[in-house]
Amino acid sequence: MQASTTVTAQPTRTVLPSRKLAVWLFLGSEVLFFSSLIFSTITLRLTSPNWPSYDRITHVLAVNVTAVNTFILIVSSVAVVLALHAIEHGDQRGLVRWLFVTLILGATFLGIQAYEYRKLIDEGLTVAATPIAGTDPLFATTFYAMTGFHGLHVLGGVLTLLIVLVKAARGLYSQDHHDGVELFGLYWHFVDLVWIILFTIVYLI
Amino acid sequence: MSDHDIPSTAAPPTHGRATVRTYLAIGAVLAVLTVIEVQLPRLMAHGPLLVVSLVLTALFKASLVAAFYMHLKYDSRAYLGVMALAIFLIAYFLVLLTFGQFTTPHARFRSPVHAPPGWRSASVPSIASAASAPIRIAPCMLG
Repeated sequence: MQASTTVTAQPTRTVLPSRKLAVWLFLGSEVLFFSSLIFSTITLRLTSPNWPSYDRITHVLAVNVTAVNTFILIVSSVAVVLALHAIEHGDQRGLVRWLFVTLILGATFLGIQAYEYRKLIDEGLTVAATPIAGTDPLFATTFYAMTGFHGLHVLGGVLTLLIVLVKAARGLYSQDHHDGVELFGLYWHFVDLVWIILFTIVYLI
Repeated sequence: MSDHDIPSTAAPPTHGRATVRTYLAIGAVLAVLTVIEVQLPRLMAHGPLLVVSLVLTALFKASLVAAFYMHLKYDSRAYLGVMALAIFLIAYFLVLLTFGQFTTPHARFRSPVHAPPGWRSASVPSIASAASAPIRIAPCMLG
């Protein structure tokens, strides 16, 4: 009797890292949060007869300064991804160096946003009022709601980055264990992604 | 076969992702697109074409960040599913809440915020009734 060889396929199962999945679920909820703000603004804008026109908006909002801020946030995203790449290849010094660059860029973003707020408030654009006569004050409200909440997210990211940076400097991350860097990176890239959308909605359109 | 016999991978592989060169190239593309975005309103008349161009550029930039920097292109599809679910939910609620606003002529360009004094428009939040005209409620009916 001839022996037959039976090859059975082994079922495989991929187990997702629970912390990473949790961060993605959190980011999913953040999509809902920021989308609510953005679409509320769009609805108010479409239904308002006195929304400031493009030229009037650009007169009040410093688009060039904010464009620089956008560039800074993009470069900070590059720095974070290079930090992750460095630790994935066991380069701890590279990790610390790129995280430090990200910290500087994140703090610069916040500084420029604070400067912008100061200038706008001096010009009369407060949460409930615009300096342009006859225009809808909800323009100012939605502007501060969207950019303010985003700024708070950047601030939260910078504070988290401080913790990650200290841990990196103490050598607590390695080629095999660097979840903290990756999870922080996801959050930071998401904040960058949101700003890309906000920049267009708030400053350009 | 018990669960213990099923081979499992604890985490999707982190290697095989983009190279440093790719990350830098994506960063350069994002920067160039930002410059173009800022210049577009100065070069084009403000209208639907400009709005569509800017929105599409922003969405393209955002998808580059999600695909390459957040590694959605390389990681498990489950994470992409989470994002897709969030986007579906927001689209669903958006349609539900604004359906009446954009399908009823009387409701177009009218928001409760700017309604005449003493009047407000209320849209019933269901697909079946959203197509009907918004209900005008006089102050005396509110008690």
